[in-house]
Amino acid sequence: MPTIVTVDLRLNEPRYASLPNIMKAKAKPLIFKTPADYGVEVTPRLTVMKTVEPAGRKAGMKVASVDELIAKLAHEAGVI
Amino acid sequence: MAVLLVADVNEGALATDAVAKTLAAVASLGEVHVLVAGAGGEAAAAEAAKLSGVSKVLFADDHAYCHGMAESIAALVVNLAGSYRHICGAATAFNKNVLPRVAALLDVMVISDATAVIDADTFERPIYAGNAVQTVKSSDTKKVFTVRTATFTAADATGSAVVENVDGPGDAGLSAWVADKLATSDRPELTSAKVIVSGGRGVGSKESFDLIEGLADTLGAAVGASRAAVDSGYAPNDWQVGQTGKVVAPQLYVAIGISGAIQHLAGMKDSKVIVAINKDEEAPIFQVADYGLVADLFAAVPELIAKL
Repeated sequence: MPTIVTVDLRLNEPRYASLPNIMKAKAKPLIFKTPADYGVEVTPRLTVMKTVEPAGRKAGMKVASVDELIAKLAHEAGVI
Repeated sequence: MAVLLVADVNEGALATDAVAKTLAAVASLGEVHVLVAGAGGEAAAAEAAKLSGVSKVLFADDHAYCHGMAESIAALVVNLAGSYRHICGAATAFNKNVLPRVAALLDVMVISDATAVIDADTFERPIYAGNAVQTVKSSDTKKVFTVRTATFTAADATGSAVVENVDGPGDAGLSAWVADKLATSDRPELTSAKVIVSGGRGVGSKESFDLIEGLADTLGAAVGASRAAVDSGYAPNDWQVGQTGKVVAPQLYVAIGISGAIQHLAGMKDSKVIVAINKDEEAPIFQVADYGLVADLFAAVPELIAKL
């Protein structure tokens, strides 16, 4: 039966088409079908209401040393 | 009509954080029923019942549902789907496997990675690697969606819902579980960690990555990596943070030797505080970092470990 397999990005090297095969492919017949030929309905069911840019992050500050970084994290941000 | 939330269960353990955060996301849609599938999941079902916002836990006690096999679990979900208008789950590997199959069987589309539920038909989701946020309205009769949990605050465990046993069609017979190969770690899980220390290409080698792990252990943090570091073999696949990896939003994210490619930022820019350590002061990571330290990581990280 037909199977769909999704794979990890680094599974292997993709098989690229070789030039002779690209040339051969040009000679193959192309058959055009419409979704209706397969009894599939393709009316969109999702409407895009709006697309906005997400709220950006403001660049913070540069610290000069590890000591300053630890001090900022401990006292200003309170995360360590 | 109620919402069916498909809970991540693995070997009888509930992914509580993911479920609790998804609950927070769908709170406005009404009554929520949580589906806990898998034999031996009594404890997981009881735990789900305690989360506030859950009005009922459906527990399917069958071995067919134990190993997250999408074919069997999707059949169970479809069986239950009749009385629900929304079917959802956290956008985890488990639900990314199960819910698209559920949607296909119901002949509806799946709305993936929703970051906000606006009303019963309208959702917000990131597109173009998080560079834009799209608001979409679905006209499907049933909405199947996954929730990107990173930005939600987990529902607390003060509820007391009833647990109801449900039967499903059992093993779909299309796939069988062979084995799980688990990466075990004493560190917190990446997507729910409060602190994450990540290393990038700048770390230079697999051996030097020990430095990143050392800092992570000092901070009690999870370890992340950029795609460059994973591709170079410095860190395992499941540590990858970014568009094609995990999306995280910890309290503190420390990016070390990471330049800050947009694909990486897509996975961590919702973090509360971002610290970047990089020797290149032009690195784009400094544009999103709250605190940037321009320094050689091989000097700065050991100093940081020593002083913390």
